[in-house]
Amino acid sequence: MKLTKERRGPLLILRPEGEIDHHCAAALTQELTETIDEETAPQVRLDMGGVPFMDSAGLMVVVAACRRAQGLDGAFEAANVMPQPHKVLQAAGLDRKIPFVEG
Amino acid sequence: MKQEINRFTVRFPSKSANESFARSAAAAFCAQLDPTLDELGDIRTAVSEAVTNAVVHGYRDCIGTVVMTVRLLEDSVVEIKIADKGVGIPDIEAARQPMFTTGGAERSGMGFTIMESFMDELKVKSRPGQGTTVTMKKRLNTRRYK
Repeated sequence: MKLTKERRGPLLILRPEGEIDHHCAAALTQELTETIDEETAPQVRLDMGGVPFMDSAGLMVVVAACRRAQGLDGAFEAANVMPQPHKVLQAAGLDRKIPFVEG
Repeated sequence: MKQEINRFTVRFPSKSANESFARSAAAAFCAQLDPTLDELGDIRTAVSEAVTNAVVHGYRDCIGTVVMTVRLLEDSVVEIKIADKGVGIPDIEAARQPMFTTGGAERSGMGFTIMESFMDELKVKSRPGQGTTVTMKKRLNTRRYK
């Protein structure tokens, strides 16, 4: 699992790459939350265009990143969510709580 | 009882690195039924949840053996059985409720809910101290073996 970041003014884009499961979830959550803390961006976008698969461990990764961004009074959105991760997020009802964007 | 067309069984240690191996192996075997990408994604997800449960809950304090059997049945039905000889589940009904977990803050408690919604059928057999067996079935919209 690889994580890259990009800053575009107020927007922090975080791009995990690879499959998210219990094996990598804790390390990814830590890396995401630490990066959000360091950057203190008003807007955080989790770009999931490089995540072809996630199971319920991925739900907690997304929730942790969202909570950390919102805890710092930032906005949070998920971008480019692929069909399988989308279905998992939908099963947990997170598609109604987190804005999904393309781009 | 549906006739069996093919099957494979694999045993592996309950290491989290094997979650990925198990879902990929199950999907690769089911590919001979010519499933859709969506169906393969459902199978991969359900297997990942069941194997993770064995790793995280079944063998919470040790490394044990997980046994996965995938059977291809007539009418394009896939049956996947994932068994451990771990601690077992004292209350299966409670464990199957959404958001129920004994795994701490990093677990969503959505594993069984996802297995249920991504597969057509889910059966859980468990005895405290003796282990857990999860059996899931899904009928594929495939052109083969009808």
